[in-house]
Amino acid sequence: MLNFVWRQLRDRAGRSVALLVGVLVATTGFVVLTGATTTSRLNVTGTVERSTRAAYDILVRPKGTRTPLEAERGLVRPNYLSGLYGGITTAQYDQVKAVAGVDVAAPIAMLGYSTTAVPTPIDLTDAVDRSLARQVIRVDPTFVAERGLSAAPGKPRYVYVTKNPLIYPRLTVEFDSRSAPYSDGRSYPYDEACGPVPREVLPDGRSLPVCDPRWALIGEPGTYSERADWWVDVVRLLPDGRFEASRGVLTTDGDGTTTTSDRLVMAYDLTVPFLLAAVDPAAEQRLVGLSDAVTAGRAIRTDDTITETRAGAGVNRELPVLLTARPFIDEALTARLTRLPGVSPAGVPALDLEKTLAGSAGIPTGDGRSTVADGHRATLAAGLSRTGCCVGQLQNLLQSGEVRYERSPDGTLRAAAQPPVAPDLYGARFTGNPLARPWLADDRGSRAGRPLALPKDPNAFRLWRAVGAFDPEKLTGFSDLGKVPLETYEPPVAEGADARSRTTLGGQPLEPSGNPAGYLSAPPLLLTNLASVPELLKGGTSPQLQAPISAIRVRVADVHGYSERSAERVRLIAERIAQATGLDVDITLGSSPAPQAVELPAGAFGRPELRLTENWSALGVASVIVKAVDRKSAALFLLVLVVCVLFLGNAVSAAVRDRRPELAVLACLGWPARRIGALILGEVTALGLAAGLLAVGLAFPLGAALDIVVDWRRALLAVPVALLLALVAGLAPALRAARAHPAAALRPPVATARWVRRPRSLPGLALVNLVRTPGRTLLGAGALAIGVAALTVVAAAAYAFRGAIVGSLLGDTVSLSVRGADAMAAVATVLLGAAAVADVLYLNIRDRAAELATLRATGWTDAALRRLIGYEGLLLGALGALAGAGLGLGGAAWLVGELPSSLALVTAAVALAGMLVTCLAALVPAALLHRLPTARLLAEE
Amino acid sequence: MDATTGSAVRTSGLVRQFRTGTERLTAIDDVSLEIAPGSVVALTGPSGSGKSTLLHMIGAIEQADQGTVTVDDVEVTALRRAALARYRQRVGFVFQRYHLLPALTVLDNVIAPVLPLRGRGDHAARARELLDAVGLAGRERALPAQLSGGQQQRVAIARALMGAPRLLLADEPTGNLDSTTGGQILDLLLDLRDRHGMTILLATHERAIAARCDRLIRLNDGRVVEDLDLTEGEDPADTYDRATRLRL
Repeated sequence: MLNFVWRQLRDRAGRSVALLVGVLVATTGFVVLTGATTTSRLNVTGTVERSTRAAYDILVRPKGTRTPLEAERGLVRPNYLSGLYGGITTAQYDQVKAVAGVDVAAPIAMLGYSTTAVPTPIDLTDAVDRSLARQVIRVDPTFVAERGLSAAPGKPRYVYVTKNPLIYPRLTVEFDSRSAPYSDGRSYPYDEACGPVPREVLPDGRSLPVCDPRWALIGEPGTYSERADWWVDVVRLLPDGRFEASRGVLTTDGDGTTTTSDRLVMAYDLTVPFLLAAVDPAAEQRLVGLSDAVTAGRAIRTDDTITETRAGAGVNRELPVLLTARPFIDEALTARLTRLPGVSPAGVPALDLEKTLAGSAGIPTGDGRSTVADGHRATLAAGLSRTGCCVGQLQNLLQSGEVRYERSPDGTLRAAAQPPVAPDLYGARFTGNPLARPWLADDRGSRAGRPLALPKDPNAFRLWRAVGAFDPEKLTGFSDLGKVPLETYEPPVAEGADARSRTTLGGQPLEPSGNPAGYLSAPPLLLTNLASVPELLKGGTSPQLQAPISAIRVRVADVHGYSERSAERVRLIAERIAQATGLDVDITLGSSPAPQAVELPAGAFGRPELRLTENWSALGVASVIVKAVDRKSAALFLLVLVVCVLFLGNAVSAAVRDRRPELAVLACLGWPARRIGALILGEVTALGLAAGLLAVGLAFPLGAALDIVVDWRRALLAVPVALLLALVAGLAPALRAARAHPAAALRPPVATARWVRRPRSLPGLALVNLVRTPGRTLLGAGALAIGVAALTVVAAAAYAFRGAIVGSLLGDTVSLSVRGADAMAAVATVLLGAAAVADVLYLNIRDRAAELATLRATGWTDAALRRLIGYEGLLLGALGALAGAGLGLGGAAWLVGELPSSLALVTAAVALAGMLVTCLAALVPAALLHRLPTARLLAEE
Repeated sequence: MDATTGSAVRTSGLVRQFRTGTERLTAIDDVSLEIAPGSVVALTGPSGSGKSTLLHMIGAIEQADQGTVTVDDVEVTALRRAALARYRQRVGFVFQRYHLLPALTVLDNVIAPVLPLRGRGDHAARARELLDAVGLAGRERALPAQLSGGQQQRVAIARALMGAPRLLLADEPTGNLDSTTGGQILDLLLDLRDRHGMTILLATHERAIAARCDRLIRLNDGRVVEDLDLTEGEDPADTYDRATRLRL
């Protein structure tokens, strides 16, 4: 029997090789492509109880930045961006943007805190006794924050008010280290401790300097706390009752070196940390309407960049920013005012100033108070200008880390206390920070701090300058009812969680203080564009040079409100982002506010321990990336095999039909039916085995070429797959062969049509021919239909539904997204379908060779014969393509529950492509026509 | 039906060889003939003598290895593909096995040669006329399988006449028919010749058929071994006797 099988295969080498190649291609393709079915899948768990929506649906953060607490409880902490400095590259951002279905991908790069001077003016007008010729107003400052719970006194400041004229140093003119030119046209010597300061002109014509301790006494700015900062300002009470001082001493602006004002309002500042972040202005506009929220100046633009201007021997590097109109910082300066009558610092050496002034008794004359919020608002109200509002230093940027929590059994979180951030992070000698350290920097905090590693260039001074201001409350979704606290620009708010804390807070929420390492962290207050980040960091050692982006907020297209379908769509996009970038993704769609009790340890400046309720966000669903088999891909690859079975079944059938006389002879010779069947099955089994073994060898190089991992176990799968494929394809023909009857040899290979219709043209004759072999026609068209249906669904997902079909199947929301391997499998199925059609045409030509030869003998040209075969191919292709497109269209429309025009368009395109491919495939058998041995076929047998 | 004048056929030094395994078989070996227009010529000879091959070469469905075929002063062996197809449209071919298209009706089989051409309405009328001429009026809608062998051959003849040929080539047209039916088919062919004057070459090994032709060419091993004019001064009965004597 084996010998017989071998001889049969050898004697029909051409057909045997064709069948072997068919099984080989299908098996190898299946084995290799199934290597791509294992993929990472974003699994979501949980159900959404409240339908809320943030401005974005997916939050993308650097790998590993999701805290264990967040992961465990499915929470996102408020102001999740704090403590997150970079980690996402611009290439990864581009990958996120490129994911089909992403509507907006808005990156944000947190850069750090810039300590900035915010005016907190104190009005001393009423403390002045206008009857006195000379007096000193002592200002005893107290710095307060956190609803007044944190407070710290600062060193007294002094304002010397005299009715005597004052002369002022002209520091814009060149002066030497011993004397300086003054406004009276003369030069006066000064000592190093006192400095070139205003001088009081006494009635006798002499003038005495009013020394300023900041000139040399206190040290370099940036190295001390603002609490330790003190100074002596000198003001002249003019005969008309107005006040005159050096420019900058009073809040009013003036010309040249001096300013005059009706009121004595001192231009005191508080040093407040402003968080600087970089965004993509266009994406931010689309996400939250950033440009529309601009209230002064202009919006930050994508092409804004750092500008350099010469400043003496050095250079100013100016970063354009959009400045917040609301700093969201609860901090104020209060002052107790005391009048020291008859006291004068004029002529007192700098070193004796404190002793002279502090030792004087005085008369309390009231107090003053100024908040950061009011000061910032007033500054902006004065308008942006080149010389005024608003600039800030970028010499030192502080990055504060995440809060660490200890968990209590009752679910309360306790923020772990952190020691104050090292003072030198705010500025040290030679770092060039002109501002004193914020007083709250010495408070205990909840976050560790580190400097942003900026380039060290002693000749450059980095600063930011506001090109405009934006009002966060004008951003889309700000303070929406039912909002989730995931908005980037929303200030975190913590209410007292128990009666004691509520009472302590005066019934008001705790808000961020001026401590950059404090528990509550203000949102980004300074926004620049992403393009400026590398410019800013260039020459430094910050890792943010390589990966500047801290988070990407992604809004998914075609998602409106929460629904299961929207959720599945978002899940799919999140999965793609995770697969493409490997970053942490969280689905924020369907998130809801989740009140979280937090215990805050007592601060160093009097704030007692507080128990707070903070609005965390409970993710609607928990996202976990798992390895999973892509069932849709597996189904597609299985379709490849199904089409192959149809293809091979047809081929084996034709081979058996060819051998009918031989099989009939065997039947005559007494071969039992099962033996004849076994002969056919033996032949296809041998071919299947050979193809399987060859496929094992081919799988590795092919896998390597396609970048698909194929291990030994998977490769060995080729043998059973090939055997199964061959056996399934050969079963029906073998059963038919087993029923071989001697008379079978006499039947014509192609039957007459059961349904006769007079062909009026070549297409009509082609149709008659196809009807004559209904089984073969349906097989070829069916193979093509399967391919076209698969490709229709895949193409619909890719083009009509932005990369994914999301719909309902038996009550479950399911999604279907397209990967490269899927598209490859779908295209392969169509090509196999087209090949099946071509095979059907070839078999038709072979079986009807005598008829075709007759037509040629009667004068048909080869072109006419080719047209006939072409029409047969076109009709077969149209039948298969239209049936497949209909199936695909119906399936996709049924899944999504609608029939958008784009889906119809895609379906039409795929159907046309299917027909075109089939027509091209039909060219091969049509080209064989001229090889028909006309004479032999027509000669008497 | 058109009245035509038969074609003059001339072959000169025709050679055709086939390869069978390692051997080379000469099917036609230096055959030179001249056939007068309007004559009915019988090609006879034993099986494998080259009758069918010679007909195929004259009908341009077999190529000559050497020599020429000239029909009406047109050298057929020099024609290219498209011209050959046009030539074949003007030559009628009748086969022993009829070679009708089983899926088409009788009428459509007759029309089949001209199906790729335009103007189908005229073709149908002409096909009906031809079917009437071959005695199959009323069977237009029948399928070949529903006809007897003789009727199928009549359909094949009608199909061969569809192109108004001046040359009809018939390869054992009666080979599959009983003698009575075969005689009727020959009657039909001779009648067509008488009416239209076409030249008819028919391959046959039936002496009764051959004896009724104008000329008899006997082939053996691809060569012409005898060429008899059966019309010269003899009456038909003598011709029959002679044919019998020659053991056709």
